[in-house]
Amino acid sequence: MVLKFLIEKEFKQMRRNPVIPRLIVLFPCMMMILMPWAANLEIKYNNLAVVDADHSATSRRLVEKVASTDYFNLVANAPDYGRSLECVERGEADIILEIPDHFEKGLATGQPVEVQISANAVNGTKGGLGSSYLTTVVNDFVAQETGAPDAARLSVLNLYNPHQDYKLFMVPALLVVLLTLVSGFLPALNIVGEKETGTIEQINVTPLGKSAFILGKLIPYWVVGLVVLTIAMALAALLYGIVPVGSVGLIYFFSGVFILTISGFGLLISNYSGTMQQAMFVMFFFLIVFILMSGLFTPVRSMPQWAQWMAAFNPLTYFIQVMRMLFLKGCGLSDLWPQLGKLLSFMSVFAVAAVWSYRKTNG
Amino acid sequence: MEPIVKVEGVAKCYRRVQALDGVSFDVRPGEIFGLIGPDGAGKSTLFRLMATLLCPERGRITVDGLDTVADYRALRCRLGYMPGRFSLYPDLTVEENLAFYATLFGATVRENYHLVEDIYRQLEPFKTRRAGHLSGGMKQKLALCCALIHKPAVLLLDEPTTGVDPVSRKEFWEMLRRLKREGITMVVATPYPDEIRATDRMAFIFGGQVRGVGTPEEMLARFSDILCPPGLAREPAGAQAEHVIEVKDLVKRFGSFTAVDHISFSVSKGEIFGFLGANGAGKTTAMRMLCGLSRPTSGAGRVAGFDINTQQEQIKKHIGYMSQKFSLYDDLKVWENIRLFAGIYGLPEDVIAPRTEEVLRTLGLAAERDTLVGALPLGWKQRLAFSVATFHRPDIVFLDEPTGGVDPKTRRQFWELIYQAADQGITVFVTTHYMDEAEFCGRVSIMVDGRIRALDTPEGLKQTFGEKDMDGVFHRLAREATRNAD
Repeated sequence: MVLKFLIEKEFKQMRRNPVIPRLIVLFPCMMMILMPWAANLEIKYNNLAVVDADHSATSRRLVEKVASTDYFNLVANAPDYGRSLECVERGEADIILEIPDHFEKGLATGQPVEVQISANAVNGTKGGLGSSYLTTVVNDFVAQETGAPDAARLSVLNLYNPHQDYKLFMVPALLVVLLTLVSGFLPALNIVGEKETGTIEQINVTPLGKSAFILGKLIPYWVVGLVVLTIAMALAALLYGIVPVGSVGLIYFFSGVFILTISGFGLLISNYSGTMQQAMFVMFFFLIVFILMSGLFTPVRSMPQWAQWMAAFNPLTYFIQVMRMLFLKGCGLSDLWPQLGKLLSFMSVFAVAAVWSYRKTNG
Repeated sequence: MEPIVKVEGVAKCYRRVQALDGVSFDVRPGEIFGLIGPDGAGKSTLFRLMATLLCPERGRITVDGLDTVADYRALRCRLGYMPGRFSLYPDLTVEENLAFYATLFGATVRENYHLVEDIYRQLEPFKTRRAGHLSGGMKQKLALCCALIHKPAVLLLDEPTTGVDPVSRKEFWEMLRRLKREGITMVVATPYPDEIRATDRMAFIFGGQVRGVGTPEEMLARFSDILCPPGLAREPAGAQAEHVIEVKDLVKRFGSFTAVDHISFSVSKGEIFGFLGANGAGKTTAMRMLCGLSRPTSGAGRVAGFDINTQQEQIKKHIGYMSQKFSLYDDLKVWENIRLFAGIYGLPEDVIAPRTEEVLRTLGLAAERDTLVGALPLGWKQRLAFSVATFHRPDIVFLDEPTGGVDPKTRRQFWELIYQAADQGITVFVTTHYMDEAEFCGRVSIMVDGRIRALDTPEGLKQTFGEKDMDGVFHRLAREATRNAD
């Protein structure tokens, strides 16, 4: 009964806030329109420097083949390795392909031939992917030339994302980031905001229950989170045609649980903060750790053991798994029980802690 | 004599609100000039215009021969401005604050130390304390030092003593008089009648216009309806035997500091109980314990029949509370604030709606039903906050300096509300720094250094201490304080 008055109040305040209503609409638009293009892990147009010591027809064909792909841009033809390295140092080239003397002859006679690839690994992802693309292209070429294409043909089938579309991979992750930011920061700033204006004092002197107070804060942010999710999913469908393979109902269900979790965490921070500035910084710190340690950009399995432990205590880890499984694999609830259990535990812990740490009577 | 401050036909409006309209007056060198008027009259706007923080729409202001628009850079070095709210950095220590303000104006503390010496000597023992931990009176003294440290020719003081106890106020004005002898001109706003009388000349501002300029005696006589309304007469209601507040040996310690030191008293049902004391004497701390906002260190007490140590949430159902700092929601409308708190106290919808209309009518705020509370003048906000605190018909209402910073007429209107509530049988527990308000109470207690030093009816206190008014009684007792500003 009291809840009705509290929720009404939060929504009125939110509506009259000059920033929040706009943020609720703009933030998901921004995230969905711009980020999928920016958060792209595909590496295209590596600048390539070639050192062709062979000067044969075969070596020229190899260079042409490499340059004709989308992945490489031939920028320099250096006479020796030293010169090509200078190109890399000047920042003109990212990767060097060195074709040795007797390359053609070696291929024709079956002698071992060593082609060297040197990649600038200052940007690790770019260097790694560039050299692996280049290796594939060179191996293909050698196989063709020596006429032994079927010796050991590798066949790769990308399950659930057949074209390795990065947007398909990133959109669910971006939804998670979006919900984390919106429903993490807004509550974190809320209670401490009331402390700063002094209105909390008037609330504390009323007989209002602690759980009612916290619920009165959680529910409005829960609704906001779901609105933001809806806008973002609609945009993903409209702009990129990305619709979840799994059940939309389940996505909403899990998002609902997740929003309560992260909002509860925000309120907890808010209870312990004395000023908005403090709450902002503490929340920022935690959210950055949550996001980076969640397997959002880098797989959790490849982290060191201690980091994997940290990831296990991170609600985002599970929510990202759920979102990717629902969007790409189309799992049902039966596959998601472990994640559901963990998310529900996080939710209860944070919600209870938020209620417990809110003090109406101070020591 | 050439005036040092010249205000000529100044007008300023904020969007559709005309804050000032054709304001003109002169201030002579070396005088203490009062800018007096009710809340929302445009005084603060005028101060900000003189301090070069705003530009007038029409008219011009010259201070010390410099125009506030054209020569604002040069002028700022000649001006000291002390805004209404504390302008100190709470996280810097006393000496750091002073050094910072000196540096801002390219001066050093040493070269102008003689100007602030008298005031600063009182602050010296606390110079390594953070400004945020000083009492209200001390903060004001420090703020005055900071406004003086670059040796301004003109000092602008916008309600410097609001929320400060009578003893500290008196000391503050002694300092102003000393500065006057140094030849510094001062323009000051104040809601206190005794301070108005202490000015040399004053302008009465009302509704954005100057209604009169003259000596305080002339002006007080001419505008007596607002500046000195007739006192309130009330038959003291027959004190009822039933005690609604009973406190025994109540103690509150913060670390090694004892804020409230073994106080014992009781308040009868329907009584108006005045709880007086200097800034930092422990009033607010004691009141917060009674309201269940803070847990006592030791001692026992019952409020509305419930234990203050264990039954805080029960107490909260039976009391209303209005804090020192205005604490309704600025971004909710008048009726929405009422509805919210009524809902929190568990009143049903069909009671809330008619009672809201009734309250708005009594307050004369029916036309402001849909106004955002943030847009109301301070005096109206205070009356609204009182009505919200008593909307659920509590047994007791606690008021912590409810009338800070408003003019005598508005304060009188507020006390009419208090009397109405008392007539309905609500016990009123009120703290105040206005000694004329102390006279309106049934019984009064005076706290000094965390202890209750005296408790009686105003008449009884005056007789015991042989003083002619409560102001005298208060000064006599508050001077005994040794705790000095916490």
